[in-house]
Amino acid sequence: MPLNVLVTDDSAVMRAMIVKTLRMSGVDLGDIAHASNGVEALAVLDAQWIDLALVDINMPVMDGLELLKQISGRPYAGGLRTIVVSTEGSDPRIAAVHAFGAEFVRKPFSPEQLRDVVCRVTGVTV
Amino acid sequence: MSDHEGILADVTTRTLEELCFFFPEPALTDEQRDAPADAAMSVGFSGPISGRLVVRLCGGMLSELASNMLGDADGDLRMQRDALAEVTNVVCGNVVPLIGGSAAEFVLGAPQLVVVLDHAKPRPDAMVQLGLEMSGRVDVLLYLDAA
Repeated sequence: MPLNVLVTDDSAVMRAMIVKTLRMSGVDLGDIAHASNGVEALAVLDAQWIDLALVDINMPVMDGLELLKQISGRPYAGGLRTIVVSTEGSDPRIAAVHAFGAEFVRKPFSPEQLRDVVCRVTGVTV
Repeated sequence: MSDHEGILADVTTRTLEELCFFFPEPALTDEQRDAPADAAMSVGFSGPISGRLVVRLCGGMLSELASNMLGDADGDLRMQRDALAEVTNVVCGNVVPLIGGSAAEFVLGAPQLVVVLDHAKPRPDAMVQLGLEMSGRVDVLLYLDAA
């Protein structure tokens, strides 16, 4: 079944790179939504079913850690797989990401690294 | 090369290879050394250490950077600057914990286009220059605030 994906990053170029990597990975993709901060991401998540959310941490308006906190209180939290894709190098913040049940991919990433984490998190084989 | 310059070189090389499909070279040709600047971005950081990191592209590499990151389209000037902003953000986000320690928490600011480099503190605390393609260059400058 195709995966509906939400890509949240304040950089339009990074969103485009992540989508390009997902398309190249061979994962069966459904709808792809974009958001440039946590508030926009929550609006998308509240309005439509998303299987996989890729989330930056350092964003204006609402950052990625606050977004993960907000998601954890939503009814769809249990069915949503989350991967944080960030430059973040602080051990405490990376631990906080894992505490919310999210996977972590550090920028810069190779296409293969991101593909492997997406497959592991979603259970998709390509 | 100082420890900080080694970190700048390693992180910049890895970032440009993995995100941008550039393969930087530490040895510059005369053409690369003389390449005029295209654009520069700065990211400020604060925490146990604070300062800012500047990435400057030279020799017509800005459009090629965006093209490599986006695929077949190099985008308009806004997207090209966004590409450089993201590279600067990634380099800064990886450099700062290596210098200040990964147990600490740092706050990174939004990337800012640099119009004129800082006249108040013209000498960076660390700087590397790497060759790109045949005639391009990337400069990475680290400015640390006084403790």
